[in-house]
Amino acid sequence: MTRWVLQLKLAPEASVRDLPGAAGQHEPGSYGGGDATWDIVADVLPTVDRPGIEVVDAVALAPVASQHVSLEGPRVKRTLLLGLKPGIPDDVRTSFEHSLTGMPLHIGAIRSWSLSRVDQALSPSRWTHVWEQEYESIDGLRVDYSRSSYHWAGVDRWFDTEMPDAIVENTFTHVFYVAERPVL
Amino acid sequence: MSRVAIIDRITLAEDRVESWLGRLDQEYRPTVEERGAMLVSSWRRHIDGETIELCLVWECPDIAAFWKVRSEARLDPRILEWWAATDDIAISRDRKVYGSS
Repeated sequence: MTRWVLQLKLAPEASVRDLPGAAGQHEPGSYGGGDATWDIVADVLPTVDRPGIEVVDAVALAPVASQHVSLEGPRVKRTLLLGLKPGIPDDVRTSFEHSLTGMPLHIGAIRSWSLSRVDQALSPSRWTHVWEQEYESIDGLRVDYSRSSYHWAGVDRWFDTEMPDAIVENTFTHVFYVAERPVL
Repeated sequence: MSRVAIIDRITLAEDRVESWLGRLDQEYRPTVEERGAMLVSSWRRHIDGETIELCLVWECPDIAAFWKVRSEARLDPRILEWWAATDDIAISRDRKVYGSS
């Protein structure tokens, strides 16, 4: 079984409430992607046969590292879809992945998390990596995550378009929604 | 509240330095200041008789200002073009970000 992350475009009357797995409309501040994210485990690319819901992006995940942290009640589930520039050497890619997986050690607001590569065989995609986290509240993402020096004076070097050694493409998808149950 | 320093180090052939600094003042520096950072100091050292390393220290008053500098640069083609043109002539270039200790 494979874990999938899908981006959904929703008609005004459409609801994702009863989709299997977990799904939710994006909160303000999300960037790129669709109107909602659908997280689901399935053998093959899931389809939606409900009116008003269209899949606009889908990635199959090949796990790199993850950790589950118990958390009761609703949580904010955040997804970052990113693509590395072509031709990045394996050792640089590994350093980048280690930087990301170090974030939960430095940012206490990150609860469960998962870093994956995109399974290009199952889901050919412009994205190469999926970086997901859960937070107890929106402040965990908007405040703790963005204000951590490990983030802006460390990990961000891989993303900063003004840095000569940035390896992440300039476009990305950053989306988050409120999930009632654990996703990661 | 942490201040943020952005430090650029650019190594250029000596005969390119003054024209590059002139363009920095006219083309790039105003875009940085529009975004909320200031050039607080500018330094140079001679590596040998033909090359000079410049060190530019930019400062953001807080983390929110840093993210504004970062996020707006990503969307501004003038900035991407500026660094592409710089990389065409630079012997080396490096940028690091520091928080106040």
